Amino acid sequence: MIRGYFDALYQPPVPIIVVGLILPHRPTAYTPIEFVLDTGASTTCLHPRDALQRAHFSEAELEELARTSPQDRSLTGITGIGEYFVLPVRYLLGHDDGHLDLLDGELRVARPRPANMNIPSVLGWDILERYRIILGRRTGEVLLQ
Amino acid sequence: MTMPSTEEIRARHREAERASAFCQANYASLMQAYPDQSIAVYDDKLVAAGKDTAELFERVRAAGYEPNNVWTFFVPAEPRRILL
Repeated sequence: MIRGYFDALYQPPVPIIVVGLILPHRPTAYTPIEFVLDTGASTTCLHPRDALQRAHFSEAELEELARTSPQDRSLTGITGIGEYFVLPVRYLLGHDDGHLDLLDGELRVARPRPANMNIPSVLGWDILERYRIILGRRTGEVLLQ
Repeated sequence: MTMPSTEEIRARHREAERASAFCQANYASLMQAYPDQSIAVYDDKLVAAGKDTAELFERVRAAGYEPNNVWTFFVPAEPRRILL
């Protein structure tokens, strides 16, 4: 069982799962990110604040992705089409009993723009489809089983 | 790239959750003191705050820490509403 929590910085509070990222060629070996559990997202996306402050990309490195990484042009959202670049990643999800799920996949990394600087990173169906999702706002349950 | 050991991963994960719990427990005062700023937390302590990443990391280093070793969070001026 993987446990998360409801983050009261959002109104109403949103479900959060802490997932570790291992990104090749990054100086930080392992980066935990508080992802919003987003059942409306097809794929998992890292947004600029987390990319800069947690994964320690520089702004120049994020801009460089446009040159070095494939762009996912298929993503559209409520606010329009975003620019996302695809990186290989290993996801780490920690169970209550200490067991770790290691999932190899892709991470969409957003190109920084003023409009997306404060958007949280989202955990999408590429990861969520492996689990049964249990959410209970009144009980505070955020569980992946 | 060397894969971190399982124990290293678990330790780092626990640190992240602990830092997150610190923020959750102190949101009201953090929102009042650092609205629309990013903060850095280490060992249940606020070590720095800044309006952007550069300022935050500069202050983290001035406080004697490395950006790689602290946990950063964004503190909005008021609870956010989002549409993802």
